[in-house]
This record gives sequence, structure tokens and C-alpha cells, in this order.
Amino acid sequence: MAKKILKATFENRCNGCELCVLEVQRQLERVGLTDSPIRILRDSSKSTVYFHVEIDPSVNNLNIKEVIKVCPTSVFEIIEEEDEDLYIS
Amino acid sequence: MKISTSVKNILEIDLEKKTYHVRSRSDLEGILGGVGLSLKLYSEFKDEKPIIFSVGPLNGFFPFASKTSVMFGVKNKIYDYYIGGSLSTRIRFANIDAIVLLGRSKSEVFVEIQNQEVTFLDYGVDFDSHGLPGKRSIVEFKTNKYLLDNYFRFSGSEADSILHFKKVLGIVISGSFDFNIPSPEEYDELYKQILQKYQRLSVDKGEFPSCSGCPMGCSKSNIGEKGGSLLAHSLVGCNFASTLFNNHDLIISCLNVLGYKYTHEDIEKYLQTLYNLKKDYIFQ
Repeated sequence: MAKKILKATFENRCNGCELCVLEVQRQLERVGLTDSPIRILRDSSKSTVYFHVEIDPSVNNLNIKEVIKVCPTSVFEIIEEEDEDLYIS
Repeated sequence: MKISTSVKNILEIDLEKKTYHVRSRSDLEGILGGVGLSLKLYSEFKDEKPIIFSVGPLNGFFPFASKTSVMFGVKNKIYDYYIGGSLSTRIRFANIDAIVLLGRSKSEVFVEIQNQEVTFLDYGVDFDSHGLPGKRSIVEFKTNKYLLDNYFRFSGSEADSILHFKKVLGIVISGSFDFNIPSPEEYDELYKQILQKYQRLSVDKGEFPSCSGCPMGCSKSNIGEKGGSLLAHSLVGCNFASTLFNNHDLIISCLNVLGYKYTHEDIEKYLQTLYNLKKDYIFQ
């Protein structure tokens, strides 16, 4: 059976707004940055600001379609992966 | 953590003595935040040449409430600036309403604020390694000006001058508190309603780094603001979203869903108090 996975395929488009972080935290009924399944890390070491999107697999238990919807720059996509646990060897 | 609706947490940092205190003040309940809070604190501390960073009740909680009020005085003039980036959410998630930097350090210093704890770091430390990844904002002196997260800046060079005068070469602030909302479903609905109103902003979408809680990525996000709408800047919202933040019904709905008990009359009374307080000063 295929499992739906959230991926930050287009991380280079991220503008750092953190709406995805706040969305998943709202789904978990809290407001803040701690223990968020999505983290945005700013890389200020280069001359232009760049953002890394870090995703914990636990995000896939949430409504990830809402994460796609809230992102203004279409960083994310949902991919389908085969769930290996279901195969019998 | 429950949202503190009746007290404001003021972090006072004495740069000369390298000491700090957090005061939880119930006497500031009638003051929304932002410009109003900064002005009240400025009037209390003006002899100690403060620079005040303050947020409002919507920062971190609602879209477009993405600025931080920055207030200071030079001679008899007051500078009323706003900076974007992620600073306001970090201050909010540190459960702080305002940071007051007092006096002048004897030597060049970096200030690390983690929730409500302050560490004074000597010049020369690897400043980028401080703070909590994903939960921090860094204001740092770079070549000839201060930058927030290497991109956002103050709306005027006077803020750079006063921080440099105080010998503060950098501030890193991390906030790791979580807040519980009394009615999460109602909150989520209101949040999304506001987010959908982005067409009402007086700025176009762009492909630039955005402020935290704002989808726009506009070309003006890095410039900061000077003056502007008193209500928007009390909350502390972006002035480009002032049509939203001047809608009293909407604002009261936002405040009420967070547990604040403000009414229309409270807002009007607050604005009148703020107008009166402003009359005592010359705003630049």
C-alpha cells in the first residue's frame, strides 16, 4: 500500500515565512516553534539568504495537504512511497 | 503555556552593570503593545537612554503581525521604527513583551537572550553558534550597519548608531515556549480567513525573504518602517496590512480568540491615551 509523504522538493523556493511551521503546530493545537515536525533553518553564511526545510516523518500523520496549501512558494509536494512493512518476505 | 493576557513581561537589561530583570507587570494591561508599550517604557526609562524592542498581542499568533517596534530617543526626538524578519515571533515565543536595553556597555558585547535568560558574551565569540537553531533571530553588526538574519535592517541609520554607541555588536534571541489557545478550531478558522486576505495588502508579492508569518516575500520586507498606523503598530502588524489591522471588529475577534477581553471602547480609550502620550514628545 502506498503511503503519502511530504517532501520539500523545491527547498530553494522557500522564503522563510514559516507558515508551514505554524500550520503543523496549529494542527497539533499549539502555537510556537518547539517540537515542530517542520523546521526552517536560515543559512546566513552565504551572501544571499538561504533556507533549509527540515521535515520529521511524524508530519505525515498530520493533514499534509494543508501544508501544501499554506506555502506561498510551492516548496512542498506529496509523493507516494510503497510501505515496505506490508510486504511479506 | 497559557497566554498571559493580564500581565506584560518586560526584560530590562542594564548594559553597564551586565545585569537583567524580567518584570511581570499588571499595570500595563490596558496598553495593547508595540508603539504604545514602547512609548510608555520610554517615558519611564528616558534618563537611561533606552532602546526598546517590543511586540504586540498578535505577533506569532496571526499572519501579517510580523514587525517589531524599535523605539529610542536622541536629544529631544523620538525615533519610532519597525523591523521585520523573524524577530517578533522569537520575542513572543520567549514570552517577552518588551526588551529594554539600558545604559552603555563598558566594552563591546554580544547579548544572548534565551527565553527570559540573558548571557553577556565577549566580543570575538563565534556568535553564529549561539541561540537555538530554527528558533532564533540574530541582529548583528556587519561592516557598517546592523542586519537581522543577514537581510533585514532598521529603517534608519540612527538605530545603528545607538546600538553601536551602546557597544552592542549583536543580539541573538531564541524563543522556545509553546502557547495553548482556548478555542483551537475557532483560532484556526480565523487565522486562515486573515491569511486569505493577502490581496488587501498595499504591497505586491515578490520572491524575496519574507517576514515570519507573512507569505508575501515583498521587495520592501528588508527596509523596515518608520511611524505609521498607531493601531497596526500596537499589534505589531505590518503597515502594508494596515487595512486589516485598522478593522476593529477583526482585531477584537483576534484578541478575543487568544483570551484577551478587549472591547471596542477599550481600543478607543487606548488609542486616545496613546495620542495624549505622543503629544509630550517630538517624533522623528
